Amino acid sequence: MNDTPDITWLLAAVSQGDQGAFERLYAATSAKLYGVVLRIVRRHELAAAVMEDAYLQIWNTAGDFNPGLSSALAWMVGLARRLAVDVSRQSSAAEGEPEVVEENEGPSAVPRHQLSDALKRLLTCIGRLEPDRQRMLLLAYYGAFSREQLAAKLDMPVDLLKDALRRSLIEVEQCLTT
Amino acid sequence: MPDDVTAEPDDKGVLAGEYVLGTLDADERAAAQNLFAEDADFTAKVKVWERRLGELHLMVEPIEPEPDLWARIKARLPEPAPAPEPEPQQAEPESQQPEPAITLPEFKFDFEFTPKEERTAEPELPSALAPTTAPEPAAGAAAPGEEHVPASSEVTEPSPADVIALPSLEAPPSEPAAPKPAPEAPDLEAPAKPSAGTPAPLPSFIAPKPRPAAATVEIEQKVRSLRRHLVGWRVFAGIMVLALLTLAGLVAVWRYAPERVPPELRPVALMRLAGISVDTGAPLRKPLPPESQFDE
Repeated sequence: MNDTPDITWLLAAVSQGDQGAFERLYAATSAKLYGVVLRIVRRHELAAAVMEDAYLQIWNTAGDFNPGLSSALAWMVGLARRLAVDVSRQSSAAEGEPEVVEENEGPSAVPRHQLSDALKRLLTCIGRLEPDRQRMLLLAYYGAFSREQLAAKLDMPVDLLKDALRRSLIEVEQCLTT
Repeated sequence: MPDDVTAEPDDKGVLAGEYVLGTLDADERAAAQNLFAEDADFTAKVKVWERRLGELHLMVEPIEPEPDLWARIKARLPEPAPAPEPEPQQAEPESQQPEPAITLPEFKFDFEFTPKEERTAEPELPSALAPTTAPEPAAGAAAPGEEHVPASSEVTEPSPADVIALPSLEAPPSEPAAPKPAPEAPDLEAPAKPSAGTPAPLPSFIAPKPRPAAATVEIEQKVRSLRRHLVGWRVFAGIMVLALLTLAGLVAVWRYAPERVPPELRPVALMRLAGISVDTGAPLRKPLPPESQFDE
């Protein structure tokens, strides 16, 4: 949290083409992004490739970041995650090195004072869902599993899962917008 | 799948949510990507979901990537040409000075704008208090007020986002601004306030990369985004000062004009203790039976 303003400044400098700032931005954020990406693609080689693309895209589109809408890190994570999910879908059938992330599926605990207000709100809204659906949503986010994978993990029919996912998203959206 | 999706607007939101979550299978995801490229509405929904769920990253443990990853990324960057404008953050305060420093100097936790706030506060007080509030600060109430005011600025410190940026950038311009009297402040602040919560000035962040005059543009943008932070703090400081003034006013009225205090606001026991006679004691006790026990 303390580094948030720095990252925002760095991103602003990067949007002006400052490579030095870009290097500092990478140093400040790469571990976080790598953690997110690796959880999704589950292989180091894929994760590294995603990271390359992600940071190039950050370099090219830093000017799109709007600090009024989200934190800089959340913006970067969102971008990297999108690329990671793309790769994970394409490569789901492909062969490769063994997966390095075991099924330690839950997110790590965060001390309460480190939670941002936005995250508190989101967690409050997710917390209003039934426990199974909370788990489903968080598992979906952190692992970016397809519905089939999720259904298998949660041991429920895909149709049911699809419906539950849909309702959960709508409920969370309603909760967040009221 | 995308067919029924476009049928109901709700489904588009769900599709956007699932796209961001990553639960779509490869085909659905490809379809969603097409939508993302073509349908501005869908794109907006995706962005909203990314923003909503984006904070969940706080709960992901960082993992260091391989050390050579940076070298590979750097190799793919265009060319190190645009470096000549290495404008580190330390340079900013100086370069800000030639600019008309707009609202920035006036901030710096100055409380000169409080008179304006005071006026807006008065309607909240009981009408009997209104006329007496003005002279008080000169009397004993001023002391507690001044003692507390710095405290309120301390209270503002802990929240991280702004503090780090503020002090370094503000210190230089605020010194010359200090002698400037209050009258200027209200004019500039009044228009600034409405923008407190709105992200309106923010798009300034978006800037064309290769512009040569980028230096001034950049400064301007940073000033704007700084000012946005400041507005929030100013409102907060204003509220704290208001609360203090209200409290100080109440205490002073208790002390100097107890008969003007509406009965509900009188701390009877306290006033007795301080040797202030309470004339209307009898009717007062009726609505407050618990206190009357202590009084007798």
